Amino acid sequence: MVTIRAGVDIGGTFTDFVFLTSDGKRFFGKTLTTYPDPSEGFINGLQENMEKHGWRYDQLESIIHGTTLVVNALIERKGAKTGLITTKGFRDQLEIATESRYDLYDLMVDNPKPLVPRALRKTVTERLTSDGSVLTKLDEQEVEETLKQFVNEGVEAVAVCFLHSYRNDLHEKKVKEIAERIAPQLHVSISSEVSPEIREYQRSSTTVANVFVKPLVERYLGSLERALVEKGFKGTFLMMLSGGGTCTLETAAKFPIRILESGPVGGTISGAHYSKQAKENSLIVFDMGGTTAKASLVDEGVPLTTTEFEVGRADRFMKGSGMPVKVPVVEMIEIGAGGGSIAHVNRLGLLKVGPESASSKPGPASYNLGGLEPTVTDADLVLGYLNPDYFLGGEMNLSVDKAKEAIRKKVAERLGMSTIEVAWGIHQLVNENMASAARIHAVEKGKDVRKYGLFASGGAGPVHVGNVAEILGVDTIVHPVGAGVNSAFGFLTSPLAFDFVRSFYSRLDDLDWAHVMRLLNEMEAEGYELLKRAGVSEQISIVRKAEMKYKGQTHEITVSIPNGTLTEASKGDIVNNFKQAYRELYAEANEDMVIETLNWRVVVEGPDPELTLEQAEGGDVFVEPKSTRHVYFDGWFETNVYERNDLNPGVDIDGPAIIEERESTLVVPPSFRVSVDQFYNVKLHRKTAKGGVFVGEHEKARSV
Amino acid sequence: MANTKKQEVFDPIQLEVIWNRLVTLLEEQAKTLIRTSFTSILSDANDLSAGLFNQAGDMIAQANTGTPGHINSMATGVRHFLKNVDTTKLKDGDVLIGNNPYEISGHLLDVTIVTPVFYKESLIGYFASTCHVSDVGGRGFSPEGESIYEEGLHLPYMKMYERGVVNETLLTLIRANVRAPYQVIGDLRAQVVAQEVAISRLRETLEEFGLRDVEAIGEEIIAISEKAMRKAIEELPDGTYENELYSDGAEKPILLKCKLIVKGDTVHVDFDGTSDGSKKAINVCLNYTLAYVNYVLKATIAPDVPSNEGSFRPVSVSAPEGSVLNAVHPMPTASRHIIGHLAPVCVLGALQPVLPDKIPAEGAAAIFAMQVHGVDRAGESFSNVVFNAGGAGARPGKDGLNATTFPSGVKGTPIEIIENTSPILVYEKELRENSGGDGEFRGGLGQTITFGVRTDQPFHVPLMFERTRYAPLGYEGGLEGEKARVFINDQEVEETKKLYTLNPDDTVTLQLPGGGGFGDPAKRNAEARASDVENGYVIRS
Repeated sequence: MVTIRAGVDIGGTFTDFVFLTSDGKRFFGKTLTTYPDPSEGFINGLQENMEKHGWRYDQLESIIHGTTLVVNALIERKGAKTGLITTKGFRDQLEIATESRYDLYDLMVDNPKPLVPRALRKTVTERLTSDGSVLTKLDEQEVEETLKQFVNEGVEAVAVCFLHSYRNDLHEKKVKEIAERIAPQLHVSISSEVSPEIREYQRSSTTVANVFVKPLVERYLGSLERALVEKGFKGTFLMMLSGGGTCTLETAAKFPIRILESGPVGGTISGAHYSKQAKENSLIVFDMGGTTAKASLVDEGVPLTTTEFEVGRADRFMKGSGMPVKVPVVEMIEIGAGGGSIAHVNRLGLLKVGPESASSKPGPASYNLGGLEPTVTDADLVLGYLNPDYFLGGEMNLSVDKAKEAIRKKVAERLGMSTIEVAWGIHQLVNENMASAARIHAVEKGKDVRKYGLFASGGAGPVHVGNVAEILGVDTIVHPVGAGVNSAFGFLTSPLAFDFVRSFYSRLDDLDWAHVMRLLNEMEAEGYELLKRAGVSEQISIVRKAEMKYKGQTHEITVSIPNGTLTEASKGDIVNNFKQAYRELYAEANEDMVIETLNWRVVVEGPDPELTLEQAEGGDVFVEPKSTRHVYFDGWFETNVYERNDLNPGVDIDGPAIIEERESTLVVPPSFRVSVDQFYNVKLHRKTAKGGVFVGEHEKARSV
Repeated sequence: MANTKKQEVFDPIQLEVIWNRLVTLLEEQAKTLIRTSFTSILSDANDLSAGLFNQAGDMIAQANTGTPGHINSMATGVRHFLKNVDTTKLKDGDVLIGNNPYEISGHLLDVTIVTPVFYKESLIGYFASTCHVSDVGGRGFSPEGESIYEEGLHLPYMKMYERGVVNETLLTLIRANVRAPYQVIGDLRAQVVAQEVAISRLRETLEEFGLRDVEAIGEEIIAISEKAMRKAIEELPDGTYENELYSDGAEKPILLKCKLIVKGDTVHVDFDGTSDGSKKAINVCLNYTLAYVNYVLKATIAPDVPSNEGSFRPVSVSAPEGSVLNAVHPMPTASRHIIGHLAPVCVLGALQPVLPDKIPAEGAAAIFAMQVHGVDRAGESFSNVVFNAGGAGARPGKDGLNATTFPSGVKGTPIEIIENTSPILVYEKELRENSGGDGEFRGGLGQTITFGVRTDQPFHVPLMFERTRYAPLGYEGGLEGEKARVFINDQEVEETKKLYTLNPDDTVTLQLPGGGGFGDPAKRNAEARASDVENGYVIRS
């Protein structure tokens, strides 16, 4: 019997499906996301695809699901009525936050409004010190009264965050026990379980966000699971984690904040899979849509993750303008640059692109729906990148005249430049903005972007990726097959994984190694247990990391920790790992300074899913273009236009070129060549790579 | 000096592209600095700045990260380095250092490091950063120094590195003179490394765009910013606008008096009539006064104009020499931020009648720097400072921000970080109810903070607090915010600019001021009032 694995990604507009059969075939599906209940679109869309291919539900071995449900609920603030319990004397840590304005020059700026209003922030008597010892015992009577008040006030969800609970969870656990006893109807999340990390504001914010969406996620996952079982589904149903890896529904319902970015993360995971498959060690996954662009880094086949994330940044995506969430997340930088970003001349007489964006209605001027502002899409059209008759596969006609008019009236005349020069300027500037963001992101990680390849997805990504590569000095670009359902495909490549963290603040020199081993063993045992419950008991791998820093610093770096039993004798290796990581980030390490440890992390991971993909034989080197048109690359070029479906492995096309498909258009600048690999991924190679001779696959093919 | 003749010409798009690159590399510099520093002053509070300067010492661009007291004072302070060092003799690998409190950012604790940039063997400009170090010896961060000689180590403009080799004599001197040599040396090194990162990035950028230096691009950037700043000033009606306000002062109240003269496309702020300098270390140097005046003006009338030499040129400031806003050698200055943060509030007040829909009411203004030093139970000495914010003034159309710094841009430090990196124990840190001034729009709330120290020996707390006598004023009929109050063991203290030595069990309580209200309280809508009461921002007695 052919068995099937399914990836389902619910985004804001579309719900995407990818099916992978045990004989290596891939099938894609897309349906509109349903509101208010997105599970409806999931179930109906799945049903349609099952029928279309004549599959039975008992053939479905597993379903892996990612969704923007959690992030949307947080941004729209549509969660449970939530209360917060903190240490007496510290009622307002959630609101006092960092005591600063995220934009120095905007006197009207507002900080993110806490999810829990002050009226529902209550304190109880208790206090731990920084070494985790009890300074003041928890007043359990007060806890009971507080919980009762919450129930009376109609609170559904309660977050608990006490000072220094990352060191000692005693008091938080006690509150949870009391709540289970006297108010079992309350959803309760404690910070020592959700995010046991130092810094009380970020930890409270994370715990509050978790419990705020918990009832919603529980209901959602419960109803999905029931519906699938009714259909006859007998396989495993897993959720995608924001940090990569998948988890059981049980874990997702307990820590919904972990599935925060579970949809978009699939794109990066898909890039990571490609990276492993094609042995391209370093990739920048680049996604550009209508209003925003996202970039993430993949190193040695592993996406870079962070625990510093902000939900719902204000319109300019400024750091500090969102609500902080500290859970492992694949690190994605997001900036307000997309096809709809508006170009304008600022007060200094300079061209600026974004962050203001024309929404889909009236949209860019070329949509001809009444929009008068010139956008990135309009510039792309004027430059000849987009085909006015083949936008969204021809569903929508674009007006070149309207685009030109908007650019001329709103920008070109003011700058005293020609329309085409300005269109080129808009294209370059939006790419500069994205490249700058990617570069700063890489710097923060101590990486050099020029050593990376670009992996392009999203509607506008392939139009811009060529120029972005030129700005960044990148030599290789990949445009994957099924880029339109890239995230859902990524889900299917993820192993089952659980990650854990415990804080233990100490100097490395007088570290209590026995205690460290207790923490590590505890986390690893918990991981094994969760995997076992999910049906995995073999090929389990453990990855240990610790956050460390020099004494006095408050920003830590992540350091690899060896497996096995750690003792005083392990110190030398750990110090070396620390210094190496430090040097990688900041050029030089300090030889004589004291090192401290903060957090110890463990990822317990099942095996990578076996993925057999159908491979194609080599085809023709030459392929007929379907047409030609004038395209602008700092000068006009008569450019061949190809249909993507016509391109088979072995093909060799010289840039400039345009490659069109229904969902997107790939723009190949004059400096790149095109090849297609055995999995039908389109690849661009810089013709003359800097600092060495470049031998691309096409050249290898030709020399045969 | 290399040829500075303008040879390169840029169209508006190239200019924007290259300009973006410069800001990006300065952000890289600031990020590196934040992540490698050894004190929460830089890493959590971000009390720093980073900028790029041309051959003449004019600032071309700056990182967006940082605080005005550093960004702007560095912008106009770097040229003093160039006056005092023979720039023709600078070599690749040289690094300059200095902390002159009268010419840069106002106290010895802020150390500026300037790295000359060489490209193709020519000196093409400078990267600089100004950072608050954790200690400079002497009276340290306290109001008690009677002259600069008591305040700690003064580093004259000099070389810290010569052709890549560190000046060990200097480091030995610094180590021997500061309370926290480990952190201080670590932070200075972080500054140097961050600038090296920026230099290599700048060289790549010049290479990519085929530029030979930053003179031509800098000239364009400065010219275009200057033009925009002048245009914004032109939109203000010509005239002379006056205001005055009082600071608690130290031995007696201090009058700040300003006359804002708008004439065409320039603004001059004259602080004539301002009180004489204080005997205590609360005197402000003119460059720091200018830094904050320029900041609030730009934020009010031209927030989108980038901060660089061009946005500074149309604004000038004067104050009588030796007055509290124009400190001269050897006047003490360590706690200069107190009055330094009030002076711009005085200027905003003068502008208020002209720009009633843009100017917020008065807020707490000065940050409450909680500086504590002593010896912990293990016998190790410590010195710790964290910044705390009172309430900001209500704005036309919006309530004031609770517990948020303004005009300063520094941040608070998490309690868990404070308690892990020092023996300080915080007993309370909550919004101060009823502290925001009433109005159609309410002033932001201050905070109540109580702390002690886990120690067996007496510890030292230099109080540097303001607004205990003069409350933040409301505008347009808004009421004033609550004044600050300071208690030691529940006993209110009168002198709030003074070094106190306390017993191990003593506690200090700070009640930070609330912001002033904006508009007639009778016009505040019922929903906002109900929410204030429901959430306990306002307690009805």
